[in-house]
Amino acid sequence: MVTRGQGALRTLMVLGCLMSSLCPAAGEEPEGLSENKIKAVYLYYFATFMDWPPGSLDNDSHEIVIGILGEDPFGSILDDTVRGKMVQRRSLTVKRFQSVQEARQSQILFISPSEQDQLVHILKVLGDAPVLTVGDGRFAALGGQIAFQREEKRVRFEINAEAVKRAGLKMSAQLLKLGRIVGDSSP
Amino acid sequence: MCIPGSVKRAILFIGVMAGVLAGGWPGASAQTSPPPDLTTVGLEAVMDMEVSSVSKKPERLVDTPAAVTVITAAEIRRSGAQSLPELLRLVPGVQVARINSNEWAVGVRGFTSALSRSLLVLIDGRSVYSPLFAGVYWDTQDVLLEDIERIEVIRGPGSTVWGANAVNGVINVITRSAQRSQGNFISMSGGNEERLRVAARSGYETSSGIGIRSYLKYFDRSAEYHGDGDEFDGWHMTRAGVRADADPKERDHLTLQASAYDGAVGDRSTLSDYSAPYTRTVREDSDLWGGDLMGQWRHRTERGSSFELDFYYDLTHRAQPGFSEDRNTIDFEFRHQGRLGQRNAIIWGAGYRRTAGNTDSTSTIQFVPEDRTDDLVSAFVLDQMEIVPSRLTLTVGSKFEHNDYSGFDYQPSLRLLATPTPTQSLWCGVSKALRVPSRIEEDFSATGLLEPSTPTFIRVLGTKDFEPERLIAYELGYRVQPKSWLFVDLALFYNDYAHLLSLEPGTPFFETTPAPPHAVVPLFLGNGMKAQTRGAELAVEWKPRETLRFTGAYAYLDLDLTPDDDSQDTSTEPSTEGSSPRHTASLRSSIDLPRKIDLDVTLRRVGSLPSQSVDAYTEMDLVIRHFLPGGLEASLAGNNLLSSRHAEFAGGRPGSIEIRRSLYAQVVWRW
Repeated sequence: MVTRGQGALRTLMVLGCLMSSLCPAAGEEPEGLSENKIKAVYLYYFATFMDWPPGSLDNDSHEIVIGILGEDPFGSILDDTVRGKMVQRRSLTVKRFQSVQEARQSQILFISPSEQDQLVHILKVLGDAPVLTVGDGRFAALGGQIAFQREEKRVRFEINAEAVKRAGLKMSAQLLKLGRIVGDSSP
Repeated sequence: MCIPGSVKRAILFIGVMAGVLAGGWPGASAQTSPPPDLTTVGLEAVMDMEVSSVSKKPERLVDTPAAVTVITAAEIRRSGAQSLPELLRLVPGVQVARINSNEWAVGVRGFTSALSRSLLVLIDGRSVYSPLFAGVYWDTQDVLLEDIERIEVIRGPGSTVWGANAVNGVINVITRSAQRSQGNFISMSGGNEERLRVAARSGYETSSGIGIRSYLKYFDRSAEYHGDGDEFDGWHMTRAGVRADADPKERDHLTLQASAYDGAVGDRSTLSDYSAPYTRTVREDSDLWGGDLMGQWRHRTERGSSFELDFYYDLTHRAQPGFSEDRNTIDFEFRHQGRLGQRNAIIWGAGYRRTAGNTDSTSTIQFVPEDRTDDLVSAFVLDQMEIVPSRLTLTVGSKFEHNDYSGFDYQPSLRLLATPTPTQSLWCGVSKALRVPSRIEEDFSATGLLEPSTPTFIRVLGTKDFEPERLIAYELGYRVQPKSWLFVDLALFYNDYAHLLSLEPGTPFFETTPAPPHAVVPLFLGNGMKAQTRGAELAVEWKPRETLRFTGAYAYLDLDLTPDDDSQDTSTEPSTEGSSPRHTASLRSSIDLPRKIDLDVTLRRVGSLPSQSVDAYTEMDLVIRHFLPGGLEASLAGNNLLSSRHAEFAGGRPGSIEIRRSLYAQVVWRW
């Protein structure tokens, strides 16, 4: 594994990464529930609570793609969480994207906090593509669909129901009930 | 060359630290039962789960055996800062003082000065260290702040990788790839000091995946407060740039970028002349322009190693009262990263740089010869060895360099990193770093009036036998992230400097040319100072909720300079010691308020600078930002809100410059 980007930390970090790939324990998450683990589990559940419009799922690969756009905060956690899982008789696959155009092929797209400055552009390129967009913090209020909110020790989520509707997605009533509903058209 | 005493001390230090780090470590954690499968417990149960362990920071800061602070894009956006030096105020251990509208004194771990000597600044890998005056001209170092991915600040030497002049610190500004800066925006702002700022960027991606972005920015900044009413220091600058990134094959990445700038900086200088009236004050704009072109190819092999090839060309023009310089630099660099056996990770590289400067000067400010071309050849190798798997690693390596001033030298370092648990680390290091001579130490001659009746002049003269300034640095650090929302970073250092620059008086003499005849008291640049500095830097980051974040920083610094026995320098010791604050502290809160409003408040406390006649001060910055529909964003920002004006450097005189309270409003439209 080689770090992307370039710079002062690069050398030391690349060494760190090389070392951690040499010895698996160094790069792994500690025991217990980390914030990222909980978010990864959420992403799995979101897949089970969504209905994508007919024809938007790829019938050849029989998979549901969970995409990550920008810097990946999960490492291997997300892959480990969904490995071997089936949702709607499809397998879950994690893919990482640097390009928004390519990310359109996801069914669920986690947009990393590193992309916040490009959010307006990203959402414009995604347009009304049937992609469930997930982010952090102010994400839902700025036009994304689901935003994780860490509140003290728990991770909750906000849903921008208008944005979900614009993407032509159907979200189960249970998910809508559990999330806090926000809108992007309110000031 | 290390002196035996310091070698002994280094070995002792590392030996003791290795013992401390290796002793009493818990072994590899005991096997525990596999965690329960949370995908079967139901969503409600997940909502009630408590975060009980820590997600690692993506930067893997915990694993770095050096004092590193990363300023993220989000922090830059929320800081309200409009220039690179202002952004550096966020970092503990970095001293930033605004001298006037267009000049800053920046220091890392002391030695704060307008030229930020012994500090290496890189923008996307391009060195902006000036070999003419040995320092950084902050007035021409800029990028589109919105395109910065992150700024890495290393406190302490980075010389083993980056070479000479990375003595007290390395500042690395890294911009985003064009593939990840898509979309367009325009921003406009105006205020009392930040009179006008306009920036626009456009980014797009071709169907084949090539990202291209271009930007244009312009600003006009007004002068700061002047006790004598002579507001000379306004400045304006236009800057444009373009960057393209492509992945021609899966394992290859290509980057090509170019930028250019043109502007004028208000300046006031007192110039001397050998004829009466001997001095005159010149008040005119410095003319600054320049540009750069950079290319990079990165390749990963199938076996996990990688290499990269970098190239840049840089051109600068600076014409200010008294002298001008045109400089052309080309630089090539190669780096390879790979493994050797099971326990060693190796990085090595080699580089070549040629820099040519042509100066134009007056009778009293001269570089002799006027034009000079220098070559720099360098190589480095670093080996990271795993001593105890995933618990204790040793990094050892050295830079080897040859320059045209002081010849061949090497700059080794040895660093130990212990990670007893994944959320804490303890590190230590010993490094040797050099600031090699530059044109100012060898070729410079500056003459100023001392006494008009005789007349007698004082002349500062470079010397051909100037030696590199040498640092042996001993560092120790501890990082811990006890909770997902709490991060503590502590660094301690002891720096031992030798051969620091001094001013040595010579025997006065008369000269008849240039006419008319006059007396000269020479002051030779020498290596007659030594110094010890000690300090501590503490940073705490607390994020109780997604919407609420606090960062606190404190730095302590003790500088102790001493002239060598054979040195007659009496001024460098008090002036250097009194130009860096002993204590600096800051507290910042970032709050996401409801109704799409962001609020950021920063309080800063900076200790007094006795030799600059600057009192300790406390200041506050505030930024309030509102996200509007349609990609619009409006913000109000205030800097230095607690007083109408205050001096940060070179105060205490009737005509001293003070920094005003600055208020501005900004509108950004993204689409």
